[in-house]
Amino acid sequence: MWATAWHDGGVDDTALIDAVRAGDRHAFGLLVDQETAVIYRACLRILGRPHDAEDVTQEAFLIAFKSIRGFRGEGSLRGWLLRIATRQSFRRLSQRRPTADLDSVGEPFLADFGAEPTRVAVAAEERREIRAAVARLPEPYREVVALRFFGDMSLADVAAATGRPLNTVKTHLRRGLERLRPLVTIVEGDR
Amino acid sequence: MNRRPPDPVDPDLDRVADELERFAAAERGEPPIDLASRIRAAVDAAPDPGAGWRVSLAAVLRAWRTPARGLAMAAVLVVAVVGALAVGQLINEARQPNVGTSPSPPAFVSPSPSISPTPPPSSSPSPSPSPSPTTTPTASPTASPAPPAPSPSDDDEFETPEPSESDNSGPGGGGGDNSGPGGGDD
Repeated sequence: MWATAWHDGGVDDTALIDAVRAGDRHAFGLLVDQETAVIYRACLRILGRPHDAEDVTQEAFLIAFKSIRGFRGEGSLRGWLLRIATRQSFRRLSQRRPTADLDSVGEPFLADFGAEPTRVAVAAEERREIRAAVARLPEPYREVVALRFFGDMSLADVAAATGRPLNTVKTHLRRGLERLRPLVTIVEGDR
Repeated sequence: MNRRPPDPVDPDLDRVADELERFAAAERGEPPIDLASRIRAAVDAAPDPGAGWRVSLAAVLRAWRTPARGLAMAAVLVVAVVGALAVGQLINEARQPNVGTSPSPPAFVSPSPSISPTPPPSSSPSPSPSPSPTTTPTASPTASPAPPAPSPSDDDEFETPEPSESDNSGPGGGGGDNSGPGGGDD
């Protein structure tokens, strides 16, 4: 019955959503199977460390399960989960002590850049700058930027998930990007 | 005031957006294969979200099950009870003066005649005791064993009328008394 409930935009089956909202663990398990990769990726983009991203992904699902009755059905479950996950990720990031972000120099990048450690280091530094700059944004700009770029959500989905009008979301995104303008200078300076 | 109109084709903003897109595309790590099953296991172990505060309370109590924690919890409860009692007592004490004012009027009335009578009606209290001694001697010659009886009866008579007398005579003589304290209170 729920097999057809999934598509690229996430869960869109009223019966499944109702089952999840009613605390049906099996339905929630299906939600976990479907959405873990998306949530994990968003967390990883914010946190930069796979281990932290795993932790926060699990936290986000647990929070969602405990407060599932708080989901009012505005927007998709994926959007709701992403909001929880990004919020938790930024919270985790703010609690982190400043250390060398070696975890973020992942193997794929080492493979991409071959044996050029300088380029790898520069790319890692760029990513760290981007992460830090987004994390420093004030709300609600940070949330909109994170959902749009880290959660791969469309602006319409962000509007539905946050319950804000689409034009308001567009304005928030533009103001967020304006605040991130110095990033271009930094990133292009590194290249 | 001088707000810049929205510029949808701001090239700088486009470049920032492009950087973010590039960043997101580069950070496409896949979760470990067992992450979803770990999360499902954690969700299965979580309490039923529909159970509400009772389950939360039970979970808290379960967490306090070890003896040391139990003792600590008991200590916390004792401190809470003692604190509540202390607060209650403080509140009572704070209310005490207000409650005392209601009985104080009689107590306050009785001094007021005694004080205000002092100058003019000082004679009025003095006559009221003086008749009672005069009556006791007069009663005692008539019946010698009577003294104990009359004196209590007199005392009773004296004491019972005294409030009424002091109230009545006080006010009577105290017509002026009332005006006195009234003026005094003012």
